[in-house]
Amino acid sequence: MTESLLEVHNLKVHFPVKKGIFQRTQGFVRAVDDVSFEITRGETFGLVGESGCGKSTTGRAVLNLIKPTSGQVWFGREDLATISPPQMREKRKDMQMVFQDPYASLNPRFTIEQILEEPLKAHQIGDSGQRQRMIADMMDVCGLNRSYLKRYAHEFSGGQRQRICIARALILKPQLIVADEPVSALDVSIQSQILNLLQDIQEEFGLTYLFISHDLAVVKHLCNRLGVMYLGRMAELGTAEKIYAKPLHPYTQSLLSAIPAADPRRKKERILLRGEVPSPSNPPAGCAFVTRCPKAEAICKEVRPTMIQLEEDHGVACHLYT
Amino acid sequence: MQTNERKSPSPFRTFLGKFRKQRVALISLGAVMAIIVVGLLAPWLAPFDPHRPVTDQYQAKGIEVNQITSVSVPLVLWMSDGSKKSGGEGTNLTLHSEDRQIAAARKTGDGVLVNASGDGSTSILIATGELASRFKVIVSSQDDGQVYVSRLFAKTPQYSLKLGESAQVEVAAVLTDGNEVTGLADILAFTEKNKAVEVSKPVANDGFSNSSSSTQGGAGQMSGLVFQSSDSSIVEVTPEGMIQAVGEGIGTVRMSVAGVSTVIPIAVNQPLAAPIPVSVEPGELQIELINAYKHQPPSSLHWFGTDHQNRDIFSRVLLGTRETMLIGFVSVAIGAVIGTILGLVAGYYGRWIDGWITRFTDVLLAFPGILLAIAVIALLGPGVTNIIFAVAVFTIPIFIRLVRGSAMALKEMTYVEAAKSIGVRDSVIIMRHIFPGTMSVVMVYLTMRIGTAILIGASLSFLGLGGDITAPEWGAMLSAAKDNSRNLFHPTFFPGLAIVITVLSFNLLGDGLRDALDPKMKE
Amino acid sequence: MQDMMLEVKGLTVQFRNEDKEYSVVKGISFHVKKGETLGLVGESGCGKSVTSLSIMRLIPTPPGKIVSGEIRYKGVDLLSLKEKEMNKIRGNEISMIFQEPMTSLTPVFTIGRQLDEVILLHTDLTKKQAKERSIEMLKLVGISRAEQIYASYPHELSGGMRQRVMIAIGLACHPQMLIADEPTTALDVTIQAQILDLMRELKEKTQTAILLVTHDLGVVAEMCDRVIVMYAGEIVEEADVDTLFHNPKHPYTRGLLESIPNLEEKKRRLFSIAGQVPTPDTVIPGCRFRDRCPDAIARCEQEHPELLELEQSHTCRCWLYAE
Repeated sequence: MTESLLEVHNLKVHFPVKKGIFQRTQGFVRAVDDVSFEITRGETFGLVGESGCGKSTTGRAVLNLIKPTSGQVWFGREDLATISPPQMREKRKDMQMVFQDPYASLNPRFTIEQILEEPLKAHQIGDSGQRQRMIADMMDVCGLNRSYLKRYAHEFSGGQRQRICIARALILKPQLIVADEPVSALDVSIQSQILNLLQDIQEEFGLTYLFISHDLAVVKHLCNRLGVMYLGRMAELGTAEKIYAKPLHPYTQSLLSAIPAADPRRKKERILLRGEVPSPSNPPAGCAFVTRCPKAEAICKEVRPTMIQLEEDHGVACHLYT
Repeated sequence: MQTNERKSPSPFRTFLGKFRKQRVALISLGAVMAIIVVGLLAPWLAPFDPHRPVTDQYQAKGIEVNQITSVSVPLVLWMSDGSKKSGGEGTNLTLHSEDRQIAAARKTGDGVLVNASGDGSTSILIATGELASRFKVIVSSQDDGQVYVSRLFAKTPQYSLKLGESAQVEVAAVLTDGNEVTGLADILAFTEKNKAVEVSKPVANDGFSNSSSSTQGGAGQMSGLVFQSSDSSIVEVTPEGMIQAVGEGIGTVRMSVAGVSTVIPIAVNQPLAAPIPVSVEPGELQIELINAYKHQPPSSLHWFGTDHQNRDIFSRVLLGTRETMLIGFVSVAIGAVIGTILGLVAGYYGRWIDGWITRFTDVLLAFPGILLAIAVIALLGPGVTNIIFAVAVFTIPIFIRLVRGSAMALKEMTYVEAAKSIGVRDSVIIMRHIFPGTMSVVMVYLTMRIGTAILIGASLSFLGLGGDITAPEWGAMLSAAKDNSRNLFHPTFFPGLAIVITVLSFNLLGDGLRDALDPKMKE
Repeated sequence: MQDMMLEVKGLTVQFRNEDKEYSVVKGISFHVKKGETLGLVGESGCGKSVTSLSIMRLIPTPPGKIVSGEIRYKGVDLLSLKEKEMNKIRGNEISMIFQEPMTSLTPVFTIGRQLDEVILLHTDLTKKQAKERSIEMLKLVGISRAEQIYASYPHELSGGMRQRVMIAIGLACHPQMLIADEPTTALDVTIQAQILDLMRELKEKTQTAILLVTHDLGVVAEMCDRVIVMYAGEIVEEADVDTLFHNPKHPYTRGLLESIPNLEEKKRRLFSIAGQVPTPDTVIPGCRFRDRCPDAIARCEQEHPELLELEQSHTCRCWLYAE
């Protein structure tokens, strides 16, 4: 359990902002700004944060769908930034992605069979008979009726589509699945079906998940460890138990307190944040959270806090703990 | 729960369903299909060889050229006893055409054979001895509206008088329009009127016919009705047609107007001798002929008529379909294929490749389409292949733009990203995910572009840039018709109509496709 | 608390799609009292948004059509009003907040102008007074730099800010009834908390009746006094918020509550309702939930259950509770 499958070191993804008729680069959106974490084999690592915090970009950079500006992504024993495109394509067999929008991530012109066969074709796995069998098996695993094979994706509801997406990701028997908000577009009663499916296949195939979500309750349910991101930076990193039991970063604290509980009898103390998330193209000089932090001090405006390991498996980037 | 095992509606099927609901598009699809079939089968469908004059081909087709270009007019001789004798045997016929450029006549066994030799209308005078009649000939429907006196005859075909007796001759005239004019005064009035018409008529088609008609008209110029006695010692006649027997014997009185004449035998104090011919009657008062050597008007034989070189326009339009389709399809196909490939590459890869390709299209699009095509022709020289190339060149940038935009939008779709994350090769992503997405736009534009390409192709041949100007190509046909058939309708109308119908069909079909492919359009 | 603000009786809304006609809302009845917040909960396609649009008479016709039923606002049947009279009620008496704060504002006008417009339309204020009122409203919804925001365009604002502006517009004429259709779904949790807080405060201040349409049970638990659960166009359960969360009766309600992951306790597996939400055009005889119901009995297949009153103000549409 201690062998790490994925290591991300000082990952930065900056998008140039181009303006004017000559498309000069006027600055950068620091979508991901110096993020490091590692995921051990077989665990579920959650990446939590609000919209625009860079969690999806991190997920894509891990899969090399977006070229990182700097930093390393170690998958197994290889740095994905240094390997050649054909090698990368080969590596994709081992790392797959499930997207947020099950409507947009399936080509409407394809039948389920074509969708599921595509990964096998891309990696030249099996002959057509073997592929047929693999597809049928995978449909069973993901709870899809085999008679759907010749149907088009647009005939299915969101939950079914998400099952198809999961089947597509799973058919290559990957080691890592990056799930980018896989349930947030689904209805409540369907969400739990998909979450259960994700858990089941993890057990069956020994998968490792990078689970990206804004829903803290879902993350708590599914993840062993998690990282809380704010404005492209990692605010808090640790095991789920420790973070939920004792959130350290003021942002994590307010985030947790903001979740409405599905119980009218529990009235909880809420830490209300003021103000707005600053633009990632012009982040504050010191701590990214300083503009909204209820406990901000003078140092927070000037010095960017670094990640401090307060205890084993629980780190926080906040000046309060130095 | 999922108990409904209905057939899966594939995207193509939904498209068909939507397309079927559009009547205009269906009709235009039918028209396009028909045009394509016609283009393919043109050599077998065309009734005539479009390259040679039709008259050269009549024999091979078993059509008697004479049947159209000439007609035989039988003659009837009216005898003084009221009987009729057919044919002109034995009579010394002389035939005179008012205008030989239009029609000529010659004697045959029982009548006259008239041959058309040019467009227009004229008359032919048949004379035998003292008798003369006339009939009108109209060639290629070019009626000038002139009405001639065809024949004169006396109401009383012969007179038997006592010496000193006198009688008034009753004359009647048959006109070429079939009317009959009776009485001296009316005939005079008619000839006077006709003369006025003739004088006021503008100068005839060409100098030759005019001069010949004026010299010819000499006989006809003898104004009014003239009475002449053959022997004034037997019969005297006044200009008013009053005859008087002045001596014994048999005499005749000849009446003539505008070259047409008749005779009346008059016996004084004697029984009538054997009947003599008093009038010659042509079987037809007016005959219509076709000038089969140039510009035949539309007829059952030549539906669209013939052109200035007497080639069958219908066959040429049919064969032109093939040439036109070739230009339309091949050029647009080349343009679309190259444009789509470049557009896909530019849209998918972006960056510097996109920069270069976009700049290239901008340069090409800066030229107006036809000018660009003319420039290409100027560089390469005229010819069908070069027209195809020229049209293709200005089709390319349009498709690049179209496909590039579409590809750029599709590239951002999550399913493309999903394919990338799976490890699908770029080339496969482009072919399987991006290209099918651009297909709908390409199909619509392709269809519409074929219409434009046909138009440009026709324009280029019209401008004489199509190489062989005698080839059966619609633009070239229009151009030739413009130069050689100035005031004729059919040589320009039918090729023009073919262009309009074809371009319209393709455009309407393209409209229909667009509506059917538009995902936003319901029903 | 006795004044009845809104009463809906037997509302049925039909949609037409390619020759097919089907009911999206099937004879639902409910009421909202003054100062009360009623939650309307359900999954996508259950007809909750159509219900809220019907009250404002904003159903696009065609394809939609209110077939039968009454919508009484303070005793007046809104369905019998003329369009002109309805316009007076919209915005003035009843306001609506939509889900999409990004698309509900016109991008070419400033926030101030859009606010002023609403105020001028529904009141007799002068332009100057309207501006004062606008800025006052912006402050009320917790916008600190109200004057600055007044002069800015929608694209210059963040999502949370825009939703606040939408609420300000909704409240500009002091409506007595507020219909909020998924007001926080598009927002982040921290912003959602701010918005919910604001709505609760306003309710206490102005005694506005609120109809809150949402799929988020957490939001319902925080905000509402009473809750209606809708499934496939019907009300399946209605109860006060405490009863609903602690003593849910309908299998669907129970399933929904059990299937959401919870911050407090960690379960190994989540409960999940099998199957898919039926599309509005599927015809299901008997109970519309029976295909997905874990407790279905034979009767559910044949007979369509009626709403049963279990206790005082707790009704449920299920055969399990029929004698």
